[in-house]
Amino acid sequence: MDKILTLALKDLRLLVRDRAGFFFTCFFPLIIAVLFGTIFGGGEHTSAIPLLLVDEDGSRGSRAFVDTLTAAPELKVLTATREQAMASVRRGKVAAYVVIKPGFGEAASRAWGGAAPAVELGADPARRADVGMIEGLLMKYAAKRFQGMFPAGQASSFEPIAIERVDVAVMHIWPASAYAITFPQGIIWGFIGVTAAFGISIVSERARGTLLRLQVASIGRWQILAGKALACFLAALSVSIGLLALAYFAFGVRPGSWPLLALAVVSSVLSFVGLMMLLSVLGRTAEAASGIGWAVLLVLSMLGGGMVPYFFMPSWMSKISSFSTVKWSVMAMEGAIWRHYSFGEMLLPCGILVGSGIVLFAIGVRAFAWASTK
Amino acid sequence: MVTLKNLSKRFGSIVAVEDLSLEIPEGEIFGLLGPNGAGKTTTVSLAVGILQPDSGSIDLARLGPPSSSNVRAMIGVAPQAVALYGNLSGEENLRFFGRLQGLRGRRLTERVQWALDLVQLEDRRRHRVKTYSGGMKRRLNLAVALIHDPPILFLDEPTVGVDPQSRNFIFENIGHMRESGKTIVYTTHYMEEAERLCDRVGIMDHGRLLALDTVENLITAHGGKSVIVAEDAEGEVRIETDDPLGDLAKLKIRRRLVRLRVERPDLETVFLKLTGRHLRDN
Repeated sequence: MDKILTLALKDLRLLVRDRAGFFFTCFFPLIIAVLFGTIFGGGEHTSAIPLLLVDEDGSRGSRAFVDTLTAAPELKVLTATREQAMASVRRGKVAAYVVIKPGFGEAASRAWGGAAPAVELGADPARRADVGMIEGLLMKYAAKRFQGMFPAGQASSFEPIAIERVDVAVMHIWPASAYAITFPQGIIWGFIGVTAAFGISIVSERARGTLLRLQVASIGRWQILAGKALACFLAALSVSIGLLALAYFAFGVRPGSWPLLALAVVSSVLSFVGLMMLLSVLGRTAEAASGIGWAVLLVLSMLGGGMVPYFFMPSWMSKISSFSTVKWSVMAMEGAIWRHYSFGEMLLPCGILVGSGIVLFAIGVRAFAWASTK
Repeated sequence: MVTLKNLSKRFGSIVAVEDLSLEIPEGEIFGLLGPNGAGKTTTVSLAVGILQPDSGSIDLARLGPPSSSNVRAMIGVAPQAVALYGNLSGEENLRFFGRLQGLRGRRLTERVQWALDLVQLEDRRRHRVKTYSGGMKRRLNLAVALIHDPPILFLDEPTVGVDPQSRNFIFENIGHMRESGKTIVYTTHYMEEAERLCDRVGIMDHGRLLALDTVENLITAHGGKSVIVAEDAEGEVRIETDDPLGDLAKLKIRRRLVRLRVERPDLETVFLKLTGRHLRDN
């Protein structure tokens, strides 16, 4: 263990002394977290927004409204029970649900007078952009039945539908700020920086000739790789601890559960260590490893919500995001920080992260070529 | 101390080492001489366990093959290319590799100091290696191989690209190692180095060991006769001889010489005789 620690400390020292590598490992993730946290909420949708509909009225009027919303190109409507809908929002699967309340049909049948037909909009407050758009679309499609009844410009004060907004997070989830969402993304960028740096460093050891020196030292080959893995693990852990400390003290992020956050971070780090080992065997030169490594990591990040929150993604991309370590890592950290996942709910993302880490590490070790062809 | 038996290694269709056998006793400096691509580095890589032979066996220090870390603790390797961490200082490199070799505490500090003194890098010990000159890096490369005081050393072309001053440093260091009784395998394509440093020399080409003996015996067996080149008023005369001094004396009596020199056969001549090529043709 002493020799593994010696190897790991050497790699950490080299990482700190490599200014560019240190910047991308430690400061770039911070910039991402703060920048995205500051501008969070902007942007335009590129695909239909998923919306869960609960029809508690069951009248002809409510069914007609359901049909109208289902036909809306901006929405992807699925029906559900209230419990299912709330759970889906709480778990972050959809940004909002709409409950068509009893009496909707009757209110809608009255052209004038009386209360406007009412719906309840249960929303994830962290997804302001989605929720704002859904609110607008509800208004738009509810107002359709009055089209042509007013001269242009006179309907501005008319309310076609009463939206009772319920923040689901008030009941269960409430991120202290957008930073609770962007700091996990920042940590992911830290992991990506560390993964790339250490993946490339293994190839650099070969190019520099120091891998040869390590091989002829009185240590086992497994110790060489274990040292590299430990260094990667410690560096990624340090980055996440640093960013979380900053998020806590400077940006008011209060994790829902420290033990679960620790579980999420450790699981994520293990997964990225495995990914690092795999990336290290993909290129024969440092330049090739760097190019391939960053390409793979950027795609994983893009698919997994490390660049763009996954609710902005087209549906096909959302589906394949399950193949990205980044998605599960974000999910695990958000689950611990502000989604208030239970231990049982954390098992899926954390299990996938640890499992993928082990598999990727094993593949990397197996494919690792100790000797060059000459 | 170092025994290689019938070693063979191929890379695809290329034969890198073919049926090579060597026995190097304790305390000997053994030179592997050959042009680039002769198979010297592959032989060293096989001997230290970086490459696995296709066939044959290796025994180091009568402990067995280098697959065991206990056996590897007995060897030091200075690779042909400088293999150091540029972003660590000279001292940090030595400490790191020393720790990997199991040195700790006062023993580690003493060995680091010894190594820095040996290669005369004491004043640059805290400077990062990337700021060193090529010669300083070469010296440190050698020092790292020696940090754990191994009884067997493999020095793979340690003077390539080195300035004359650093080359002399390295030669002096090897002299000290000879005095301390280390067994050294020294690969080179400079015949002067082999002649100057090595007790015995093996000549390699195309992966095969063509001849193996002391420098003197190799020259006697394969170098041919010395040549006296004499010049007088009538022109130049070349006389092959087994007894240059005797023949020179006779020549001086018979002719009025303007200039003369004796061309002794050397390892270059031996290599030419054995392969039909010059060492530096390659």
